[in-house]
Amino acid sequence: MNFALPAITLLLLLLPGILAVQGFLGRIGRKTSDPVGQAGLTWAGLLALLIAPLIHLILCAVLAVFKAPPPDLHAVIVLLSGQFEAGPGFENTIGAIIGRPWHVTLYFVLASMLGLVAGWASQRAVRTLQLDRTFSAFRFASDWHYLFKGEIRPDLPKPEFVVVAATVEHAGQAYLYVGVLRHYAVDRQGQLERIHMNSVVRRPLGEDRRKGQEQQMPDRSGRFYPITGDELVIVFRDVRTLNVRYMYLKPKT
Amino acid sequence: MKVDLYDAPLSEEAEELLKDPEAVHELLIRIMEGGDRRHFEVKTGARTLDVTTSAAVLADS
Repeated sequence: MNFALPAITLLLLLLPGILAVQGFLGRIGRKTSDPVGQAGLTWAGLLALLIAPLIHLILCAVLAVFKAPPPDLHAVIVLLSGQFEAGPGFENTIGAIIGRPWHVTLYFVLASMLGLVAGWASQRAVRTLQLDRTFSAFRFASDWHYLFKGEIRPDLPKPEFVVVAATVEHAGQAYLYVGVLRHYAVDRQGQLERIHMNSVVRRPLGEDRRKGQEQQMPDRSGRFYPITGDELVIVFRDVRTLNVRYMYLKPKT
Repeated sequence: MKVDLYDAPLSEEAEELLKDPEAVHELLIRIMEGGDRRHFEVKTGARTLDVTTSAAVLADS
């Protein structure tokens, strides 16, 4: 039976880097599947490859400070090499793992947690300092997030709520739906799947206000009518256009 | 993946307004019919709120 020990070892070694990238991307930057070159690597994989050794170096430095035994690099190289012929090198490696199973487990758990925390903390720093709104290099690959959160410009304050107007086609007629955006859903590629709105009104798109026609409040023209229900879900593939307005409130003085 | 747009608590005014669908409906129609208008007023309960769009906020800043 082949346990593919080199692959498992490599995965364990890269896991802190993978978790760091995932922690950094969090719920904002889900678009991580862009391939890099012909190697089939992803940006996330490439970054994980670069970050994982740094995390191991940091953890080794911490272990040295606390005078804890360092990882057995010789054993790691033997496991990665896949050369498992009987001999002193292989025997020593097996001995190192079997002799200290808790040390080995604890090391990988600590390294993985360190990666996750480092990624999460990096994301918090980027978001708190608004580096992603100021520098494109820090911007997460999630345009919908920036659009719906009102983060399209660095000088725009956070909106109190967001109004969305969407044109949707039903049975050959286009309708304008206007409502308060509450949630949205994106797929694994970061593409918008659905928008969830409250307090929605709609009208046929063709029923624009006629020239000279006064708009009465409350709307007595009957052109707009409210959609009853707690939440309206619009599937984005049915949407032709989307207009977003950021709204700010204050009590009238 | 579903994303909640309002991860922080809403302001008292927004909370009050969004719980009043009729007031929101009226506001939405005003916004849609208002053309380039940037300021709106909406009554909810005993309170009257000033509602401004991002264009107004940026112009005032």
